[in-house]
Amino acid sequence: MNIELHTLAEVQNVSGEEGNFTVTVKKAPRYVDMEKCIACGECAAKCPKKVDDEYQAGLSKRKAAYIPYGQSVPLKYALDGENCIMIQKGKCGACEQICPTQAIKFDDKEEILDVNVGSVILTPGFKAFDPVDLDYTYYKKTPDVVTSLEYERLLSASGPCAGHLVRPSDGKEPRKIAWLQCVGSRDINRCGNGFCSSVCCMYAIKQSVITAEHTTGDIDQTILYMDIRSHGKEFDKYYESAKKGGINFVQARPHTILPGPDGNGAIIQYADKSGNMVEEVYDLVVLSIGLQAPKDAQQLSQTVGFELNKYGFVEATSFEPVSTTKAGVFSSGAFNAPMDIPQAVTDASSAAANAAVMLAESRGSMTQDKVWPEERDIAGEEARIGVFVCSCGTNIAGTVDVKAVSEYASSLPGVTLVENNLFTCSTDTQDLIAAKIKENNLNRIVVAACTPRTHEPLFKETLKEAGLNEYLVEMANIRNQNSWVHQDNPEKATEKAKDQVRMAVAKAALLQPLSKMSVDVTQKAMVVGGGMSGMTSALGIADMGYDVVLLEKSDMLGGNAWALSKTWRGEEIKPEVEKLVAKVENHDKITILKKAMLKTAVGSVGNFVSEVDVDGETKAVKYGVAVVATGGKEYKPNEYAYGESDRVKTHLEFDKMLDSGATSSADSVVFIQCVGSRNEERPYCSRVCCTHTVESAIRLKEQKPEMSVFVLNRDIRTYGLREDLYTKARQLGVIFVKYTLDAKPQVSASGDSVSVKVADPMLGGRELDIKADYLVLATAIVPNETKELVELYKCATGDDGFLTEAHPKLRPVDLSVDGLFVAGLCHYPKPLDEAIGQAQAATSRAGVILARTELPLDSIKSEVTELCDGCALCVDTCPYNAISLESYEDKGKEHRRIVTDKALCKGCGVCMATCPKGGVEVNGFTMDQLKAQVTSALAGL
Amino acid sequence: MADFEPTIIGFLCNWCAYAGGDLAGVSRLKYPPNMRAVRVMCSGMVHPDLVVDALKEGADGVIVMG
Amino acid sequence: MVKIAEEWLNSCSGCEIAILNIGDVLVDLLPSLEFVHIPVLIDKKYYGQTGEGTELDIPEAVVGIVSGGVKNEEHLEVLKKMRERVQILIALGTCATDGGIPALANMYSNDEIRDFVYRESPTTVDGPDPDVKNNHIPDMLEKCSALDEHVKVDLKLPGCPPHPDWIAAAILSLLDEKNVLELPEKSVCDTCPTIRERKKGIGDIKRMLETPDYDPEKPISDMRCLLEQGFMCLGPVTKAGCSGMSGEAPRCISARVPCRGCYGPVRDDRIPLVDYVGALATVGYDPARMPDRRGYLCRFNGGHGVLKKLG
Repeated sequence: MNIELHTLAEVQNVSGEEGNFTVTVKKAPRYVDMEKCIACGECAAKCPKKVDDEYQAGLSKRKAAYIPYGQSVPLKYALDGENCIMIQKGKCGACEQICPTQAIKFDDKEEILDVNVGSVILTPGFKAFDPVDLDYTYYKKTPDVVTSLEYERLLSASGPCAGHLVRPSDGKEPRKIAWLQCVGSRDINRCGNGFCSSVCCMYAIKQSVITAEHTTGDIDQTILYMDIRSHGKEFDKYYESAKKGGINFVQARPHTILPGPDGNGAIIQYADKSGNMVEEVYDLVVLSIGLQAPKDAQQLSQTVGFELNKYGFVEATSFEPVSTTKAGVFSSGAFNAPMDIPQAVTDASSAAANAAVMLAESRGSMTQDKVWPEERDIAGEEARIGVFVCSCGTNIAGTVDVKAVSEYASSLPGVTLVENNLFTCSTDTQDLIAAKIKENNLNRIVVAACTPRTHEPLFKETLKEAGLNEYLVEMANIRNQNSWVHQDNPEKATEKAKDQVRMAVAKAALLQPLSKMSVDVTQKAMVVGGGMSGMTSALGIADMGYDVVLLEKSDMLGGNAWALSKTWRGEEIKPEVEKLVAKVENHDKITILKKAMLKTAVGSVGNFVSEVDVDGETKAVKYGVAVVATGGKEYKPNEYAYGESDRVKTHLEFDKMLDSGATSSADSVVFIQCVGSRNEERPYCSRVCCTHTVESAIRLKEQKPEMSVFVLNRDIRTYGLREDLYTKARQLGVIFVKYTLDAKPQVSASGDSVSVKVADPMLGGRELDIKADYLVLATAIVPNETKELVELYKCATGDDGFLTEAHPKLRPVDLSVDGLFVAGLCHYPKPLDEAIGQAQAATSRAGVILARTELPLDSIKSEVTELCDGCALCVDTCPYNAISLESYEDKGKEHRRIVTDKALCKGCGVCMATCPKGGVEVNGFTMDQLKAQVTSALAGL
Repeated sequence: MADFEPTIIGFLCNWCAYAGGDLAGVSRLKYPPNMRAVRVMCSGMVHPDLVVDALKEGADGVIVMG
Repeated sequence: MVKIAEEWLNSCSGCEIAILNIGDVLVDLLPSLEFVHIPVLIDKKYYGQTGEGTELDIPEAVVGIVSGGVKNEEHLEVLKKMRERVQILIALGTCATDGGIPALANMYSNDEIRDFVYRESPTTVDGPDPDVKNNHIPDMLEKCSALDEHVKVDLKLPGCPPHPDWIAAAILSLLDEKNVLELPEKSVCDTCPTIRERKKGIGDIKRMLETPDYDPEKPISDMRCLLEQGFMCLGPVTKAGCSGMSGEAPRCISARVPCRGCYGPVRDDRIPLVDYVGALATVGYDPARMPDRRGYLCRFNGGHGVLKKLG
């Protein structure tokens, strides 16, 4: 209701300034009336014009009347004006004739509209690299060399071969597949894309794992890579399990691909690790193509007036990672840099937070709410069910005999009225339903039409209009799950539709009005942790106008940032920390509690209460949401002579020396990567150490070009635009040597030097013996202890001790407990810009709750019945910790029963399925209601 | 067995399997019309009693999808 | 004066002893009651004193109390006659309400039962099956059933044996309608005072022979829930009432042993086996590993078709 969606739109001009922009939007004609289109697909079925399907990467055809894919939002068809025969040549019109709702508008015109907004967020995404010009790949010249996007479609259940993998040349299942990494990435020679696309290593691994699942028998899969960059949360474990699962990982950058024998498959030639030439024939070769800036980035930047970097991505700083150079204009996702889904989702929330902070004053001034008539009390009434059977044009009626279904419905017990409508969802039918409800005193409604997942909200509103409780409607899905899938069997489809209606009527008779639920919101936030992430969140929330209590366990704000000198972009960090600390300390909405520890936490989203120990004194804090930003720390190793020699340093220790110039006397420095990371104890990648090392190495080389700098690594993971640093380091002469976990470098320290021995695979495994003045250990980042906090809030950590988000891809800043958000190192190791981004995202997520004085809750919740006797079997099984045990007295005797927290309960019903005695039910899905559906489904037997 | 037409009760999770069922429709896939779907808010909601009852009342099979 | 007829079918007489155990209250009640038929106490010839009758007979009564389930033709005949002769039929004890222990036999065929009893049992000398036809031995029925599988039952008083409190209360309620009989509807857990902390992570199931963790000096309310200690306590699926109307801790729990389910399923139309296995599975126990889970979980309720021979 508060989102206005403009599809087929293009920004033509942006004028004005922060707080008051006028955006001129050109909307291309859709040629379909969105109000009338019911997405039946008849137009696409009749359309004679076939066009390459972009969504299927051109592997199959779509029509000129189309939806891009099944999950399209809004789910409305469009005519592709460039290909439509009628629009181009004035002949055809097949879609117009078949369309049951007269939604086709051949005379639809382009529209220009001005939108007045306070802030602009840019999310144009990326353009996949097109390898057609890389002639060595033979892409498009031989059929069995495909891009990863094409392969994705080949593998997909909704793809052109329905998930049964076949290769393009002969339609046979490939048995031997190779992936080529870094096609169009990390390549300044052939395409000028010096950056790493960040996501290709993981998607290649994913594709190989899924390939193994989609095919039978042993299948030979090889990923040819330069460095495997699985630097995301839980990614390294996935990489390791893929290796164990038999996927071959070969470090090589092939220089030639040739067509295979008889035009099937392809031959790859490459030099292996020791420099030997290898030639292999594969059934299929997948090019892991990179992510580039979108094709109209340049134009957009000129129209809006912000700057791009040399690769065409948005120019931003580490401290304002989603702000463009134009005030009030923010950007997120792959337009900022190549990134994966969780990063892009975080980025988007971060942009939303920046816009929200900016627009804080006018918040709520344009939001719309609807007022409904008073609800009729139906208590004690016999069921009077109205059944509305939809024909959906011919969508249902073309397969299912809707007349027979309607007649049958009238014979069912409790049914007072049956109507058959052409389109039950149309506005006039809504009015009709409301009128019939009043006229016939109906108290339950069954709609036999499409799916409740899209249309139940509409019918709920109709009930509310008619003064009935919105939960008194039940839908029978006779379109999506019947007529559309059983077109070839009208008789059985009609039989099934009758069963579906009978089941819906059986359930409807048992439906009860459910009361609206909500919780009051304490419009105040608590932020746990006063590092950069915590401060950023606190400041954002305070700037949105809410009170914030910021807890810091030490006596100083700033955390790890005080120990860092520069970001990977080269910006000085300490001045920014000082600025942020000053802003936070002087903000009148922020209360800072130093030397503070969380002692207790009770309540749920909107209403938490905690006791906080502040330097020995206990304070109570009430708050509606909390951001957890408890941070992490540098791991202190117990290997590589650390602690034995003062010449062996960790990164942060060495940074101090670099800052002071104490390193300039050195002639040789060695870095060892993955110290304490990616091993058995900590099987994760600490994400920041490679970039940190490369930065330090560059600084050393810039201080003293003749210095020998070695980086002993397993994979260099300078993802995204950080790759430029890696390139620069190599140009400066930093020597990178690979080692493996089973041949780790050997270190011995004596006096003022350290000796490091390592076998160099590039030299055929010959051992290097490096005498170094300093050995720098790129040690892991470990999370600070959160055990108590996790127990208090009943949230969770993974095996590595990092807090677990609600969904690893789609809800990367929410914790599993509603109202709790996470930012910074306690979630996963990350560089400063990403920590700040995540903290801003947490601000935005917290703002969604804080913006309301009460939080509406869905009424589909668990409810304790009289039969509960407190056996407590369900208490542990509740995935949301919404159930607790309470004691009560009845006739002088003590009994126990459970209580459920409505704000925590999600209505999943695991409790109901656990309970051996009907002691807890889910409203709207009670055992009786489900049982009635089962019994009724089988009543026809 | 050739003309055996089983009656199957399906418990479909609203968030995945039921949505998948809808998508199958949007994609015009075809499958046999033998299943009767009961929409649930989570497959974890399906009490064993419901499964046993379905079988007792004559279902040839029960599928819980989630 | 209310006339009462009492019968015992596939029964051990524990229920009858429970009637006697009503104690003082029974003495007070006796003047209002007339037991016209109670074979456990008073000898009775079903076909007349000299066997002159041709049809089994039981005197008329207002209330009929029947203990034991039905496993042979005689049980069935007697039960039907009782139903005919009385106005209110009470099923007394879990054998009568749910099949009880004898209904474990439903896991086997009658041939298997005879093979075991007359030949295979380790303490038996091999011999032939009894000659049913020539010796007037009632033939076994296909299965062992609860009373309501054959006749209408007006009131069920489960228990093995039923607590005398409930028998007394039932009789009192029949004598005077002001005495409303409120039988327990919740499970054993309702009256169980043990500590409940966490059901997940039960780990390996402990055998009944093992001793749970408790301090004998301390009351039951200081002991951790036996299910949480790893014992297959059937409390959650079993009808409460074993400790009578006092509201005291369930009897087995008081003896620091897990509930075996002797009051039958907490819900009449439900099978504890299904409910219990489902609940255990959700707290993380793999019920497939439970030895003899059908026998164990349906020890008292093998009637109503719950236990049958598999395969």
